[in-house]
Amino acid sequence: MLELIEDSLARLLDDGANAVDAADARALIARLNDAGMLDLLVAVGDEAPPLPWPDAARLFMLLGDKAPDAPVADAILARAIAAACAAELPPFTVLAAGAVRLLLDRTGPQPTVTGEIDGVPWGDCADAAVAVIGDPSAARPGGKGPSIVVLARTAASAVRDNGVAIEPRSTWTFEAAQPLAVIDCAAGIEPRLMASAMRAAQIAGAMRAAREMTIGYANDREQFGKPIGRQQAIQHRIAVMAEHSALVGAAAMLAWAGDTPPSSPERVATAKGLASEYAAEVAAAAHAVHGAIGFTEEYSLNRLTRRLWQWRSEHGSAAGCYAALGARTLAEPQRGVWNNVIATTR
Amino acid sequence: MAIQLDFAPARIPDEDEALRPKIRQFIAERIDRYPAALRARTWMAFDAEFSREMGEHGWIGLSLAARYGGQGRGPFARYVVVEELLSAGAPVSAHWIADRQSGPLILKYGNDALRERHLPGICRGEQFFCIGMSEPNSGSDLASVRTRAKRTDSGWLVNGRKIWTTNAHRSHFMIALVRTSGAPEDRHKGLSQLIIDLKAPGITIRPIRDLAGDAHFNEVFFDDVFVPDDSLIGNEGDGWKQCTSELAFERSGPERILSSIVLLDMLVARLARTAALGGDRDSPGGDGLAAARHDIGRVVATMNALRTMSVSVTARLERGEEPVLEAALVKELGTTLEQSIPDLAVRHLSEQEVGQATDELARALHDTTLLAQSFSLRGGTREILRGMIARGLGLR
Repeated sequence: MLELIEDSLARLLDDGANAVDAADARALIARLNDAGMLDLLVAVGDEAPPLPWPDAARLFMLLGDKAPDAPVADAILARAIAAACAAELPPFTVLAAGAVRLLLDRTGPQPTVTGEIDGVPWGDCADAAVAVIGDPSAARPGGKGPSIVVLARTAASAVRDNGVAIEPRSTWTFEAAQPLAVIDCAAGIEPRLMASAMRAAQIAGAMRAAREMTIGYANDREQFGKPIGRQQAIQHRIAVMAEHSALVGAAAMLAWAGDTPPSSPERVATAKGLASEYAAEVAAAAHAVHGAIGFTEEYSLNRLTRRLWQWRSEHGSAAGCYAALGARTLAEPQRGVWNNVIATTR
Repeated sequence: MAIQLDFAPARIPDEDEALRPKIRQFIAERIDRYPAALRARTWMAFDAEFSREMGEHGWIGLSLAARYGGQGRGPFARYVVVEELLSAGAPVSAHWIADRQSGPLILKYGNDALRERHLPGICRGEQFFCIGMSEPNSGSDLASVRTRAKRTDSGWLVNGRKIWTTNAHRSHFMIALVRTSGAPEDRHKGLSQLIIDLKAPGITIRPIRDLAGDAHFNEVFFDDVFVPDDSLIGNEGDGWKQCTSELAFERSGPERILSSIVLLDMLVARLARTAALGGDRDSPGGDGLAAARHDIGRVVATMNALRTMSVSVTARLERGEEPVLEAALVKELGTTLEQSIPDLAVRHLSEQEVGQATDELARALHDTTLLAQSFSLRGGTREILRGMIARGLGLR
């Protein structure tokens, strides 16, 4: 099942790999939607999603590896989170990747929102965005999950952000706008944990692709009469790169392991913390081995490394993840660190 | 072809998890006997009595066949027992090598006589083994060993010397890699492994003090030492093959993650006490508990990922695969983490805490600081492993 999906998804992504403008991104999303690829993680009621949850790690790793010029992962996750009404979402709906500063007013006949959401992927052409509202640390009354709002671009004024990023992001501003939907997440759906786990897996996939490119380049490029990959300094640099990318890959798979979507704050903080920390080191190693050619826009390494730098600061930073894990560890020292590790990884 | 480096999470089977509460209780009943400075030595701490008691409970040689005193279990049974022992700082050194390497090696390659002679004793925690690989001029370049075994009518005459042999002075047997034919220039051809009784005439064992003040490793001299014929493991000339596979599969276990765990637990307890009192740390950097939380969280994250990798490699070993590259990655990452713990402690302890001789934490810190240098030397050095990893990744 997974291999079939990986193959056909990879083909669809390769076909749309040169999406240069908004129309191309929309076309790729539409093609994936027609192929059912955006609904791979939509679980309705008690039913499992078409793709088993543990395989979501490999799905997002593939998306990080292929690095399409369209927010495919963000669209798949938006639907997974809004599973109950996924069928009614506009095809091009993405999960917002930045801060959410929204006031939801339910006093009138129709709920309205006022405020801003940051980091809307392809926010100048997406139809709608899903944003998670409410205090992330609040208890779930009556076992209910957090709420999400689905917001149309037509109801927002959008400002595009051109930071260091390669993937376009926008801030959408709303003034007493009507959301398309306000949804209480289904039981077991933890949008923030799922989003962090998704980015961690994408980072792991981009690291894998950067590693493979770097190994290929080191074997091809000759200096001093032999491939640079024969130099011990290069070999060791790439070995360390492999260690870090393997560590992040394992952590990303841990975050998605099990029969349910990610629900363990420890596992997810492990994955996103390590992914965010090592994103920069793996990118730096890839560029170090590639030399000047890797610094050019034309050479495709930067499609991966610029995403690594972008993604490490979305859906959880290394410092934030580590502080949370450390606080949990210091809160129950009598258990012993390894005991906690066993509990998190068993 | 792309190398995937796939560490899919695996679950330890329920029947192996069932060992955990039993071994945990066994350890809890005994661990208070051992001071922190000894527990901080994890798999280098030696207590023959503890090992014999382990043997009585059937926890040594778990993977060996029942007819030899083992339980015929898969690798996860030992995994559970070992991670419980190491994380508590239990003194496992006496039976460690026999349990991890010598027993499985003898079972796999040894003749019936060798199995009968050694495996039951290993399982009872009565036969301790050491490994005779390194020599004064053969460290990382193991294939250059010069210790020679010359055939006689009824066995072998061994001459030469081994070095850095952990526990040679308190082990009963050594499994030695020796040259049985050809010359050092023949490299891995002509090497064999012999089981040598360390009480045999002609053997001199000289302890070497290490920089932590311990004398656990030794130089061992062989002067016309007679070794009976049936002490050859497997076929003559197979020694290199035997010991490289042995080395490859001892690289991914919990012992490559847990060597500093006793110090780490003591540090966490100290930091947590400050947090519980509502104060802040007098850490040298002045950034107190917030920085400590971050750094501890980073260690925990790394350990979570590393245990996932280690269990994943064990699952592949159980399926009969040979994840040599993956095992090397686990050792590299694991020893790097282990070696970072003393620095972490120094970063977050005040000068007074580091300097207080009556403080168990300070003593564990000093010992672990010194021992940590060896973590990335034993079992293949970091630099050798990085070269292996690079080749495994397809760098030519």
